[in-house]
Amino acid sequence: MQSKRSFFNKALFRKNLTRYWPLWGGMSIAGSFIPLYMLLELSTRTSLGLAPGPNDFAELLYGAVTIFAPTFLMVYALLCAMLVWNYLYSPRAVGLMHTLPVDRTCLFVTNALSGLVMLGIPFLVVGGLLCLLALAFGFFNLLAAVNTVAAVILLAVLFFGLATLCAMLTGHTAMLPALYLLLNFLAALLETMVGFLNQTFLMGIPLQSMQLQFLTPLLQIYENFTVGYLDMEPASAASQESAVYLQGLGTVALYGLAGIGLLALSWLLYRKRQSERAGDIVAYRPLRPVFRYGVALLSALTLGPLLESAFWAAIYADIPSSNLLPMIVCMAIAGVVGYYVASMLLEKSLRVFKGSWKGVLAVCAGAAVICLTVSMDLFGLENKIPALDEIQKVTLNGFTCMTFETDTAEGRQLTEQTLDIHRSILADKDYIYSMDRSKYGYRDTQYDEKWTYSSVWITYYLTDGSTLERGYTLPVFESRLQNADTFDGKLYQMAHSEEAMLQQLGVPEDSVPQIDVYIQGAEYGLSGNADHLMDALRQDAREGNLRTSVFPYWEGEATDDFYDVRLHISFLAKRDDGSYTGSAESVTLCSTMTHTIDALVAEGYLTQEQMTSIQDGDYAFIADLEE
Amino acid sequence: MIEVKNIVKTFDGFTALDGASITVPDGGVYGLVGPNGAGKSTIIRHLTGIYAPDSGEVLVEGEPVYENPAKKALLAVIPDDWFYFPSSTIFDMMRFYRGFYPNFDGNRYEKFKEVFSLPEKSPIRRMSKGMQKQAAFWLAMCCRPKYLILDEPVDGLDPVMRRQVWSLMMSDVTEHGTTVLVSSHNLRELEDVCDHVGIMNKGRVLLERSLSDLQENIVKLQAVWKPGEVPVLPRELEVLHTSHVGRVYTYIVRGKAQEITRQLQVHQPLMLEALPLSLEEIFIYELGGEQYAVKEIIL
Repeated sequence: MQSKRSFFNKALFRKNLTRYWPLWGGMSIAGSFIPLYMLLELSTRTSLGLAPGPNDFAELLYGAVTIFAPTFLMVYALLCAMLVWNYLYSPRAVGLMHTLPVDRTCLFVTNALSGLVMLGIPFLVVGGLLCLLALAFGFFNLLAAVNTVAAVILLAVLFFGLATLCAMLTGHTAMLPALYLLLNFLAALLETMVGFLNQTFLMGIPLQSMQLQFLTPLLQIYENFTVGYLDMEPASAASQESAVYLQGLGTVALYGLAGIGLLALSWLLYRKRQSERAGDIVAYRPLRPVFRYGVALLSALTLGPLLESAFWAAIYADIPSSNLLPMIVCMAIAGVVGYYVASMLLEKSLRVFKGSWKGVLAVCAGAAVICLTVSMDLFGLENKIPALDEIQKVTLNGFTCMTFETDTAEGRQLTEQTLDIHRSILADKDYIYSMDRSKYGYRDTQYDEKWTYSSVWITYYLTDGSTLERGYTLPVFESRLQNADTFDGKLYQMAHSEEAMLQQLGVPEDSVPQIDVYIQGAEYGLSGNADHLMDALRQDAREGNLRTSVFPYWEGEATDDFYDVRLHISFLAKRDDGSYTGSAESVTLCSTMTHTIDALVAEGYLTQEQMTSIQDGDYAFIADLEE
Repeated sequence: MIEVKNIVKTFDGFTALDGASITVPDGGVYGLVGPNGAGKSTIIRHLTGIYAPDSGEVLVEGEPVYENPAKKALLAVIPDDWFYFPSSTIFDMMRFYRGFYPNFDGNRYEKFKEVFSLPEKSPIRRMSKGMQKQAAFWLAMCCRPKYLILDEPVDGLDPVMRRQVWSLMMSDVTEHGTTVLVSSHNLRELEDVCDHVGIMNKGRVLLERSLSDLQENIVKLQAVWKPGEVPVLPRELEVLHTSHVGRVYTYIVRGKAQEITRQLQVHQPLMLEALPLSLEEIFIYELGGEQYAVKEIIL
């Protein structure tokens, strides 16, 4: 007789591993091809005298764990969870397991450990073989191996924890993967759909603002968990022992802790789980309304706008206020469909219509409230402009790309100018929408002057660490560019300030540039002294000789001021942490850039004859370059 | 002793158990009978710790059985739809059970090989329903349970194996003091082995007594009266059923045979005989009062 409490049962653990060996065995065998491939690669490299070092091993492991492991573990953790928890979904199986003389804590711990071990075995096999190979060829890196093991364990705990929670919430095998995938991407999906609604009714609200990305682990991990390169200067990379490191291991550790939290929550749920819920879509009665209305909400937010786009917005999309009623109707229809689908799944019956009018009414009311809340901008998103004191840094991307911080007098002045532009855009909302209406088919015939649409993107980095982003597609008219009271005029003025011009180059003073010259969109291998050409570009910037291209070539601007010559500047810039990052900027040559034109000739990029041809708009000489 | 005290269990608004109570004394065979949907399997799932009651208590040796490994180790159960892992063999399942039940008897497992003559290393799923049932008995009895709980246990077994299994169980009862709780529709079979019976209907236990008490407390009387002098029976008699064929009247009356016979003798019957009732008859007449009777349907 068992007298002491047991948290682990060897027989169940062994049974789980022996029953499901085809999964972890198959994964291990498939994974073994990686070391095999590496062995062949190493043999080739060694025969060529290119012996790999510990950094290569670290780079290999880190590359695998940052690129391959998150997605693989997300899918594989689901499979493992489906296997170890599948007894919960069959009344017969749950009957056997819950009759056994162990308590639920013991069952939970044993099954969870079985799942985690099944998750780890393929990594153990592949990682072990890789380590053996590295030891044999003398390039083993212990720190990299330990870091990789830690990262894999943390990721495994996260995804298995989430899959286990889903397994506890549902009582149906088919529902587990559906719920798992949904929960993995629910925050991103909801943010996208709410963003889409905002875009429909409000001006300037960007779609890609992911405030809740941390609730979508896979996206957050791929964004923050990468291979870092320390002091990776081209000449010294080979000699740096600690050149490769895992960036964002802390983020993964936090997610690993969250995984432990999810497992703990799952354990609490399992203790309360009723065996008779095997086969039900939702395993806990209080969660049934959450499921019913949750599906209705998701359906309303995803299918509603789709319906509206298909049947209304394609024809009358231009005025947001005109979209309100159709959007409410479409969201209500989609929500009701979702409500009934959820009810049918819950009741396992198609007969769910009787007495459902209250729920349907609630869904329709919900759709109306959501649409009205967004369209009336009750949260003041559209007109939200931060105060100057709240701003730490601003990035303005419109006509030109500029970033300035508010800790200098010049930066504060530019920030004030940006705020002024932002206010002008909002003040001209009706004008912008009225122009927007004409973008379907009337562009060429309606106006006598040059005009275009230009994207303006403003990002405020606030002192509290948050960011505020707004993006606009604005009509820009040539006649308004010289008018300092219009948003187009203000933008144009700002883009031609000295600060803007220097920033337009975007090349830090201490970087090493390489400049490629493109004529009519093609590079002809022209080269010369890049440092001197860079100095000439900076000189032109300081003197205000650079011009910002506002209108596309077909509007005739190119023949007036701009040549069809583009200077592509690529460079390595040093980050604050000492690592290097590659970047590139592009400048279109215009007639006012006298210093640059002289330097192009003086440094041997172009001959005087070629430059004269360009200035005359004659590009026939490029035929000779092609030859 | 197993005690179920006033348990209530509802499934999405349907009340499966409505204040059911039973007491299973140690060392005997307790038969739980009742019509389909009476709640027999539900009460068994409570006894084995699968279900937690909404209210009430399920006690084994005075302690709640739900989430109580020590008490669950005293129980072995054979449900009507025994679960085995797909592709597992009897040997695999034996190793599995052995890892959980502290009293698992390996020697008994070896001895039972001859009794059951089942292919030990063949997948259970390939076996017939009767063979699977035998496998369930084989493994459950090797757990050496103090309480053996059986839900429709001999369904699918041939008559020889049925007798063999009962023989094994009864020897456990007599030799080891094992308590058997069995739910079945086969009342003739239960009558041969049970010493206590509980009758359930609509989630309630209608009555629960030792079989001898039950048989002593309900009597079938056959009487022949003088022509035209069929008496009105005394009001204090609890008559469950009356019928007559010709002049022979049959009465099913609750009470002691001796006492009832004495009361009817007053009316000077030409013939009066008290007959014992079978369990099946008791079941039918008890449930007749609960509006569960054979309906005379003419098609």
